[in-house]
Amino acid sequence: MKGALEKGSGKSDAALAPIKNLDDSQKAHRPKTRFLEDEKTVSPEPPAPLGPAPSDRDVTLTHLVKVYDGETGPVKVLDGISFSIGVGEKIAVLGKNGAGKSTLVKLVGGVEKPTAGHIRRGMKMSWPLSFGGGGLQPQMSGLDNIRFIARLYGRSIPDMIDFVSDFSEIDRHLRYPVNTYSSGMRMRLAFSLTLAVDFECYLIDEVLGVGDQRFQKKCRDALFGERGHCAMILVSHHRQTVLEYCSKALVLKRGRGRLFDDVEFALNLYSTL
Amino acid sequence: MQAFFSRFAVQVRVVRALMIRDIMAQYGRQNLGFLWLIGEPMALIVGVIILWSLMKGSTTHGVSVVAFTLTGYSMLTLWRHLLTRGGNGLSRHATLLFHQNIRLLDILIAQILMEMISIFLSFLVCYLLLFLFGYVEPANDNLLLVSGWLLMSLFGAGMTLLLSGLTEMSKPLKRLLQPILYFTLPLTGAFAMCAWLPERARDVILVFPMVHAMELFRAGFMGERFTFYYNIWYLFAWGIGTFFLGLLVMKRAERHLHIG
Repeated sequence: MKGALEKGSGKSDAALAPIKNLDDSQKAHRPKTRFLEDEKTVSPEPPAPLGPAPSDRDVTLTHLVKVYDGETGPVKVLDGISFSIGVGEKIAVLGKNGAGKSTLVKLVGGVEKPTAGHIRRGMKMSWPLSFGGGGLQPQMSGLDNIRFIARLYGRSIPDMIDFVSDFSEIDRHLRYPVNTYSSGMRMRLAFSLTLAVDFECYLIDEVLGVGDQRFQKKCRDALFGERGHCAMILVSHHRQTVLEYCSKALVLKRGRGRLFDDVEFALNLYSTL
Repeated sequence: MQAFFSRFAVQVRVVRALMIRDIMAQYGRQNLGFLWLIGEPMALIVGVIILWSLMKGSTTHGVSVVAFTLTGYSMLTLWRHLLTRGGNGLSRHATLLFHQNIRLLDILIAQILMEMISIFLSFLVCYLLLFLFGYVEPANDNLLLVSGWLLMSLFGAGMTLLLSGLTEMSKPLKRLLQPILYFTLPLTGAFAMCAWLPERARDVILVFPMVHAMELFRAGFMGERFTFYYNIWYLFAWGIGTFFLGLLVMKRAERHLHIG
């Protein structure tokens, strides 16, 4: 009797477990193939569409072309780049110097307009984090820069100052103009500001390898840990970072680009370029 | 409709943030700080009032030199500042466009508003001080005064947009802008009133909309004792026309924008 009960309860558990798993995976918006077999044994119904349904919450580039008027005639810097990033997706952009990475960042960031093609930004997108500590006004003090960003994005000014001075660890210097900062300090300030605004898609241009080791780790933890749900466009030469965090890679060569789902393959291809 | 209002609210927030940033970047927090916003144009206006009073005596053509200079130089400064802002081109502001909610137009509008407000405030402060010390009489018609100011600002704003776009697209124009700007100064009517001119010269000068604004402004300040020549609708039409043309040119130039 006892044994039968146990057996029975075990059975029902086993039957329930896959359903529970399915629910979990739906919540996490992450389809996992290993549940698919269990699913078949439980219900013959077709699986519910997992992950984010095709919606407008993505960043989509359609056939992007950028031509500059050079002194010796027009120069095509980007030639028909297309890709799309969904919620939480992290994509690496690989390419040698002059392949069009910076131009791509400028176009995606919205500073320059494409000659042809279209960009749709369905997520709240950050300004590009790059070497100069992008987005800072050098004549203003660090505090005034924080206030500007807070006003611009409708955040509370005291909260933002608290967060930034805490995270950046340069609170003693915040009263001085940014043009007196070292490049590392600027980077800390700019980085903390983007984290404080809380974007849905981060645009990162080569910046993760800057700063001292400890702050680098702090940045990585913040970006890939707490904000792991954020989408990211990562321009990087750093093989380890790309391998570890990115699920897709765009390889650029002389303005043409190809998207790979196999990041390792893309990295190998890139190293042979 | 709701979407329109929420977008409008965002734009107001963005323009406000940009205006404060503009003040902070220009004047900072040292010494007088943002009071320089008023102090800088005021120093110019007061200086020229003293200079012209020494040169021309207390009245010229029956008009008080102080009132003549105060009105003339306030308007002239507004015109000069707006055009200079336009001549800076668009690429100087380009890095701000990295923020998704900032449009080029927001940046230009913030700058135009800053100039309008700062120069009007310095005019008011000068006027108040001169009035308290008995150098000028109270303004005759405030509505005329303010409409003269607003219409000059509208036309000047249109020119700011137009020039920002044009100087972005053409390098030679950027080089020539300062001389051109210099030669437009007499055409603002700051140095002579239309009533003093012979009829044929007056007909020629009244082609320029700035003169209408200046006459309107002075009519508001000095009143009916003198004859003023202006056509509000002519000025308004120029203002609106230039503003829309400026918008179109700016949009076109935006595509050519290229930063380092």
